[in-house]
Amino acid sequence: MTENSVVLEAKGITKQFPGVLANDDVNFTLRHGEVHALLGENGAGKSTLMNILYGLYRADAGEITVNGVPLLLSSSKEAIRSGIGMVHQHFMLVPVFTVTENIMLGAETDHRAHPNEFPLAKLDRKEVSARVRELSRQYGLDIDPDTLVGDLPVGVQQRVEIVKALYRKANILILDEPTAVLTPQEADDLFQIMRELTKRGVSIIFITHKLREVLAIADRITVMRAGKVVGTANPHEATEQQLAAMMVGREVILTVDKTDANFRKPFSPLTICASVICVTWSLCAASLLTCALGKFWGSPECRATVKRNWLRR
Amino acid sequence: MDWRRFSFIGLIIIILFGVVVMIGGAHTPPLVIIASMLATTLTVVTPLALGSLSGIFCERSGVVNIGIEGMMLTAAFFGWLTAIYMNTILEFAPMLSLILGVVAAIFSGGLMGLLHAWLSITFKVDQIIGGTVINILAVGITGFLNRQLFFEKGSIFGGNVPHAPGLLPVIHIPVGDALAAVCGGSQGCLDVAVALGKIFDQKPIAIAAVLLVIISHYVLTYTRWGLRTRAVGEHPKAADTVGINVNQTRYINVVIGGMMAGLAGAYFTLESVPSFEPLMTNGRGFISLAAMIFGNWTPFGAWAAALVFGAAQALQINLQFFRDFIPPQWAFLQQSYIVGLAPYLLTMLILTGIIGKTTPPAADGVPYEK
Repeated sequence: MTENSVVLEAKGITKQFPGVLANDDVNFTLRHGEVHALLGENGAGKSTLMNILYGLYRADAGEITVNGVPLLLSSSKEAIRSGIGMVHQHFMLVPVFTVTENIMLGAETDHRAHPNEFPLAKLDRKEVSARVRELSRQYGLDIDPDTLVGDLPVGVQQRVEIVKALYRKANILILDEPTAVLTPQEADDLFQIMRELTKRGVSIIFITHKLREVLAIADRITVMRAGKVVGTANPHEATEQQLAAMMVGREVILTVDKTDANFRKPFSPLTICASVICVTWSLCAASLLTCALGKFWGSPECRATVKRNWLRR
Repeated sequence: MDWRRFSFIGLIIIILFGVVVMIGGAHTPPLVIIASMLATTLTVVTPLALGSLSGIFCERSGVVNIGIEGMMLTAAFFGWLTAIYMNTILEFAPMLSLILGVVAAIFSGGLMGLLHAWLSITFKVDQIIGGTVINILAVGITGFLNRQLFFEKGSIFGGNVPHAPGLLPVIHIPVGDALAAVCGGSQGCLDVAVALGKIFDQKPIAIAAVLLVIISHYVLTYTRWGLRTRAVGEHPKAADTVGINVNQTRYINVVIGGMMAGLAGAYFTLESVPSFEPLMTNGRGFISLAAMIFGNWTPFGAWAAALVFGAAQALQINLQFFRDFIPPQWAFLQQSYIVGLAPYLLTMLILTGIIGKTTPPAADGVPYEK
């Protein structure tokens, strides 16, 4: 594998959902060991494209090749087999399972030299948790394989997802809006992990709509809008301004020019007078209306009240 | 299952056993009474244990199954029908007819499971309604066929029920013999040894139920299939993303659950009494559902909870031996229908949730949409 060789290529991907064209002739390439940011507004078709690459959706048209081999994706199984791993925006982890159980789920015996496909095969939790420990040490992820996933903070759960992909020998990693759920500190840790991963030959597709993060971590940027790829950018040259314009399709004002707000005293005598008058009159009007419209009308008390207050003034 | 649940179960069982020991203790050694209660409990717990296993397999994979009762009833009928029909052909081998009856019961339970799976997975029918449909269908189909086949003029069996092939025989596990050998000459010791031996003299389906509880626990906890089943019931989307076919897993588990209920059905007509009566399952399916919930959807927990109901039934059965010893202030215990209420009252007591909350599988009852 040479540097800059293409590991994943998607050509002419089209996906139609009822009433919306989610992907329209999308072309996308991923090179070895790079972080390729996929940028776009909500609903631009980023997640649809990734779900197609991961085999969760089926494209209506287009083809996908991994390392030059065309890929027929009917389920995520094939995607996993060809080395694609995905960290979903909403983590795909079972909260009542341990880290080990979550990681081995669906690949319980695949790691062995002679995979035993018998469904009642005994789980080898020890071996898997040893492997998880080793992987987490190797990539500096710091995960305890025996804790329940539901007890872990979000940042650690995300690392579990990454280990889950690495355990399946993924060398293409799709991160779907990974920073959306993280604190700034956790996001920095994630970027550290991403750099470590790319150093070891993992190629990463980084989906986001946060411009600052893209400029910080990406090697290449592809921008999508309304289901189409509208362009690519180089993070060393592009500015937030340009990227935002590409995303939205027009100039975007990122900082608002405005003069200082004209500060007025909230309780000026004028305001107080006006509000007192308003309140008094509306109360009077309300009582008159109640009197006039209610079944009270016609009674001497009411007429007396009305005359006294309103007519004889 | 936490310790509080287990100790609650233990407490109730001790109370139920204690009642019998207190009443019969003057007449029979307590150890003998306890052994006899245990033997009866293990026998009558069979359909409850199998029923709750049926529920566990379905619900752990995310399909609510309240149709256990109906699956049992159907299986009881078709198992019995097969057994007596085969017995008219294979008169020389009643055992063979019985075994074929059990197979037919398991098969028809599996078919009912398949129907439930078809309704709730393929058509995404509300699973409570699907289960109710199964219950009503079972009552209708068994009642109708029972009448048409046996009690109508010109029906297949000509208006009279042919000979039943009898019941499944007791399998003698020689624990009692071994204990008696240790006893030496003492008569009291011998009595106890014989009584204890009776605990182990169970019929095949009762033994299978105990074994299936252990096997189910192993399968759900330690095997690949169990891990996938639990994942599908907890977070089907996560299971899907790692390449597990959610609906297929659910289908298979619901059919397995149906087969468990089918075996429970076979208990009624092939192991307990050699006849079929409409509605003979008598709410056992629902009680086993309660046992499953109280056991927090685990095989051992559900079995322990089922033992409570079994003990309540054993109380009713064993009290009959000591009818004459019931003291006058407890005269209400002579009415067997009052004692017979015990399992149902316990069901309500247990389901009120006084012993903490249970947590069902997260995706229980939710059809999976990609």
